Amino acid sequence: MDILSNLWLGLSVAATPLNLWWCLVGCFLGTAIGVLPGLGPAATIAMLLPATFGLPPVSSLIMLAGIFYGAQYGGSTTAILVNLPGETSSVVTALEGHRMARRGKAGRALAVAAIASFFAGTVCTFLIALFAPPLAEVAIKFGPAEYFSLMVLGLVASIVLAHGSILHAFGMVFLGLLLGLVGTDVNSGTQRFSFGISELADGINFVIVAMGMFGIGEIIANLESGDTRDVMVKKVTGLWPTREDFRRMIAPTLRGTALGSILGILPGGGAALASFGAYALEKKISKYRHEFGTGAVEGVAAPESANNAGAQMSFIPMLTLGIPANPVMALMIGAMVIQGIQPGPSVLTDQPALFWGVIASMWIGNLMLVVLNLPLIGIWVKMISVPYHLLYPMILVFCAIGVYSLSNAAFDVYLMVLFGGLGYVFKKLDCEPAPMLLGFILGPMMEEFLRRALLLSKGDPGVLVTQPISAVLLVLAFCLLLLVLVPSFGRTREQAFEEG
Amino acid sequence: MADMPIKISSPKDFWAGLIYLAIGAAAIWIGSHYRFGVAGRMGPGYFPFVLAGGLVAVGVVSFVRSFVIPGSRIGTIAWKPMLIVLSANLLFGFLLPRAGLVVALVALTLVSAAASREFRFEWRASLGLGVLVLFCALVFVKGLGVPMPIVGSWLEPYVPASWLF
Amino acid sequence: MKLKMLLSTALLACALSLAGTPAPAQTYPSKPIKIIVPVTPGGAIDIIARLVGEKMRISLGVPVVIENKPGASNNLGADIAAKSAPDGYTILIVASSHATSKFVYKDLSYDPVKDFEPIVYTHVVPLLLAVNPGVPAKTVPELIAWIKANPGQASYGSSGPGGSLHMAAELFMSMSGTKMLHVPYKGSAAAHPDLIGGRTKMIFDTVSAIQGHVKSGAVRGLAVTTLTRSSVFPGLPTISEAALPGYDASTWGGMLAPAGTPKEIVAKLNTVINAALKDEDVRAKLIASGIEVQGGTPEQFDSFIKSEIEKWGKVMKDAGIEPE
Repeated sequence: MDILSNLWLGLSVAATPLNLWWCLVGCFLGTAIGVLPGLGPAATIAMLLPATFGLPPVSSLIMLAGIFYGAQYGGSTTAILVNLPGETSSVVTALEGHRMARRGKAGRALAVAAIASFFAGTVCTFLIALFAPPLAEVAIKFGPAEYFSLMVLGLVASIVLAHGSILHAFGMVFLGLLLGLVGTDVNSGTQRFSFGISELADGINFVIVAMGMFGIGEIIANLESGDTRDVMVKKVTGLWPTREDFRRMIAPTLRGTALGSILGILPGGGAALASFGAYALEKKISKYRHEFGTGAVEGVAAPESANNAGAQMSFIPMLTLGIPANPVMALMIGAMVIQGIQPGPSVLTDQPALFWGVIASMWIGNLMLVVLNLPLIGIWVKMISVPYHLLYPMILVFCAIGVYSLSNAAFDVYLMVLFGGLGYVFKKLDCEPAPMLLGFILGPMMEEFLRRALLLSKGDPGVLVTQPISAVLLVLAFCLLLLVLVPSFGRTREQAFEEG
Repeated sequence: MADMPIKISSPKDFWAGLIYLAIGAAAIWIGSHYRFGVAGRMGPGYFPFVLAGGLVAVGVVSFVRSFVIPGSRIGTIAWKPMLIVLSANLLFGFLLPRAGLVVALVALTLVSAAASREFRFEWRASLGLGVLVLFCALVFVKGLGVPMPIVGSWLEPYVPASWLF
Repeated sequence: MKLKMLLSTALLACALSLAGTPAPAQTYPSKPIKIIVPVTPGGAIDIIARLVGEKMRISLGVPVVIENKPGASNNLGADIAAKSAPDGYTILIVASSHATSKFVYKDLSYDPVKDFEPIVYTHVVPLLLAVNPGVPAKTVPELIAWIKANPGQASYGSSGPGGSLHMAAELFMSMSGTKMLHVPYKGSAAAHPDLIGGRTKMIFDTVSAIQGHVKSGAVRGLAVTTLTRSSVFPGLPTISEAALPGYDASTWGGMLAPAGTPKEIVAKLNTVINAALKDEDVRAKLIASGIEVQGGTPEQFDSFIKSEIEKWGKVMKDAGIEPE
């Protein structure tokens, strides 16, 4: 078997003591950095890049990959514990995960997140090993029309994210989409909504919005009563998931892994949709959907597995096509260039040991992360039992430093203050930030893809429905929208399910 | 009828609607300076206009609805903690390039901590603050190489040059 | 360890309370040098700044800090550098957009020539004209004929309006008398899927970025854009020799200091960076990725920048591109 010999070659490369060591270093650093809110994997890898110049190429890539998925793990931890999503993907984890933490189930949420991620990581390692080259073909098939329709589907899914009023979900999505357009227009180079401020010329960084709307807004709301003693400290009910938790997380994890694997292949923003999509899916089809919004296990397991699957699969376009799916991948391409390796289709044939070594190391790294993280849960849970009046200034410190380090500018800190104030006001008005954040991510991509699709079709909008993949995605989006807008439809469907 | 006082039945919808309207209208006004284009060949002004229009529409619905459908009250707004927490962060941004990380961190933590009612001087908390500052300086500046000055330009003359490395 | 930290904190406190004298102006350099990189980490000029910076650290004996200030098509970093103290402790690495940005952006907050003191021309990256294999043309003249015969189909991807990829195509069109649809992307890597999938027909992209796809056969390389052939693809002709004599476009980079930096300091930096560029290790890494090392005097770099600004200003004007 070809695949077995390839994986064996990979394991023999990844399991040398030297590479195991760098994998561990990467996972450890990644987790540590992911846990610190604001300081994302991209910033960290950028800073540590020079340190990897001296390593052999395989070791340096293994370590960088470790930082990448380690940071995803760590980011979920912060999202669950203190409601601070440092990346796109952990926004959704925070929704149910933090509610679980507030109800004294932080340990269970963390464990569910770790196990779901590990499962997804394992499945994706094999998927990449089996299908990397043919899957890369899928990425080529996706043109601007397909991407645009995918974004539309994602937007409708973001409405499903909201727990309260549908109207305000729409409002927040529009607001997010508009905010996403701040900066230089890709097509014309025009500066939009940047008020002549050069720091705004490249748009607003996601981390600034997330830290402000979630982090600072939440802290102010917690300080409302003046009595902050019982903000976090609830009786902790067990650190380990119950048998019931395990049973309930199986199906969502499988669905999340499947969704994340598909979306992760698409370099043009697919992975960003994975966790949102998985959450929206569960909220619509789970048997326990009535628990969503109060801390449902499904709402942690599904997005976490989808997110990790998406992150792993984004290595496919990077390694096989040299196309970066996110800033981290762009950095890894830079690291490969420095090592004298050109990422792209030739990697697989010219450097099989490197290709398979990195893939095998992903599975080893995921295993290390579980081993590393499960024992830490106890410590994390202890940490949030620090009195809140001592905890929140620390959270603010890490937010501020993280945001400052994005582009080493005090302006970003000021911007975070603005979003912090806005976040608190919207919290008081029951307008949820999650749909806004998804709109914020999708806005510029949607416009870019739509305009490119129309540019290439000479202005004919028919291209959106004549391309089969695009048409299917739009039909799906339309159905989902109906499902959202016509609540009675949802109810009859529910009854039909119960009777049938 | 016309001079009867109109009652807002849902303050949340009312204010949210006003915010949407204000932001949407501002975006339409600012965006009117960008080339609009046509649907087939959109200019940089096309997409913002559509989105801002959507936001205005949602704003109008929310605004109108606030007089018709009753909703819950907004509740007290924590002005004091809000102002304290936000200005602590502003202070951090202002001080970091000028006075350096150490001073900026001390300012951020002490000012923001004042937003809580439990705030008082404790020697253990002060020690914790010292450890936190040291941790940040070592991990972020020395370890990760984030280009933040530990000692900013204001204090540079008072510190031996060899420490700035 | 702990004791040492405590001691240094205590010392710091003492130093803060005692108004000490400013550090005396010693011979340059006496404190860390900062290289502002106006792009995100991982890009070509970032890699060069890091490789060269490491060698500078060794030869100058002070830390060299790489500070990424991405944004506004490299203008944000350049603006910050232009407004920094001209003491040799803040320098800037720029890419070829430095010569075109004033034609693309209406209110540029600095002057690309007056606000800087050129230090050294560091590198040039040849661009490669590559087409989707579905395009029948095998040579540049065939391609020009194909574009003229299929005006509705010919389209090219670029890394964004005003970038060197866009400029190379504009120069190509104006010299060959052709017209093509410009499809801009956020960076050239994002343009590759559409090119490979055949939705766009061609691209002028850096040798380093596109070489993998050319070698695998996903796209077909036709020619390089510089006056000399690329060391990575010695078999490919230049556009100048194949069809359009005098055609020359590339993406290049170099180091600048804020205007007013003392001549001696610029000279010292020039010597050090030239030495770093001659280093075997640096050279090998750059050449492998299609980056050709340059070097030379500050004066040479100065006149090069001025000639580039003049050349691209004319191309932009001919193409009818207005600053926005």
